[in-house]
Amino acid sequence: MIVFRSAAEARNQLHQEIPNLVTANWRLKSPLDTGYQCIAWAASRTDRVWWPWDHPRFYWPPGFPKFQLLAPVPVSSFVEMFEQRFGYRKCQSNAFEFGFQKVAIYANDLGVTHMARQHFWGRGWLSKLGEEEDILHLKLADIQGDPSPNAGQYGEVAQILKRSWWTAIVRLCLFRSSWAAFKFWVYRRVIPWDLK
Amino acid sequence: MEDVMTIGQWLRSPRARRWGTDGDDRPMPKKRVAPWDQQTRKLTARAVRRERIRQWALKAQLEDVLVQRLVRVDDRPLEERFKEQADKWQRETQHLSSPLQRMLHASYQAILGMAAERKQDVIRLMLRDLQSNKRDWTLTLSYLTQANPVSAKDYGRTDKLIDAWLSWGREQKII
Repeated sequence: MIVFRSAAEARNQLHQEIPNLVTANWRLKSPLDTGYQCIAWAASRTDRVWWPWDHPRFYWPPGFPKFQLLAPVPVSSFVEMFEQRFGYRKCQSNAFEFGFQKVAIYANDLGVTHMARQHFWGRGWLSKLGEEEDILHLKLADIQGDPSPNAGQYGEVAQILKRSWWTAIVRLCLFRSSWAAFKFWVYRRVIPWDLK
Repeated sequence: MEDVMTIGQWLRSPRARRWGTDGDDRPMPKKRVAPWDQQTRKLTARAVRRERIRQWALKAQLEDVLVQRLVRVDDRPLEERFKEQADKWQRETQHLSSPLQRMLHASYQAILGMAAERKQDVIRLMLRDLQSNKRDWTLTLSYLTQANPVSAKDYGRTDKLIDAWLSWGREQKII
């Protein structure tokens, strides 16, 4: 389900949900879409909800371990999948490096909560906020929050991964993310969508 | 000057070791309790027990009052309570990607509590809500009904999941 809600409406709600966004520099990139979430978006996909739980609600690439329903998911399971399937490697710095693309894994006391993908040209970080919009924010800290399990926040950045642009091209991720970005650009231009 | 001792010297001296005793190392004899004193002690113990029972009764009365108030709050129709909790759950967890975080929310737990009371009614409400608002009840529905109407190729596809569950609801004549 896709909803083109106004930027003012989205801003009001997102400011309540993620307090750090109040003072941050960010903007909407896509409409609200319940068809995918941040993990899928980090993997450049917009057609499924990705999560390593053994349940029909979620997709997880075949061959990678799945967890029982309600089990906390450790950062290591995401690192393993992104390393083996998408060619990422662990790294320390979140700064933009020419020729490399990065993703960040957020976690709280119960495990993984969110993922953000670095803009291809390093203009910031792309985050699909649950079922809500995809936003571009300048810093990873813009969406960080309380790491306690019941806080309803993303916690803190637990791991940065990076891969070369060539790997992104070979694994078709660049094509997929560019196609999605083009689709969103068309939405912004063609559909009467209040983005002010 | 030789008679003056420092505190350390005094603590190490035999006089200090005998401090509090009557000058010898024999243990103090046990204090004898008079018969009238034993009676007093029994009465005191009885009074303590009575006080505890009184406090327990007061607590039970207070709990009754609280339960009555809760029952009065929950007296509203199930549909109204479900809608209120579902709206709150969506409003406060829509930005979360982790299903565990979403399921830990108090409103979600409240809805599960409603399902424990009136399972069939809650399943029907969830299917109707799925139809009208496309809210994600598929995890709860599969838990409550122990059914899986979704084919493996559609795992993770929200629209297909919703269609599959609505078809299942129609087949079961719930909606």
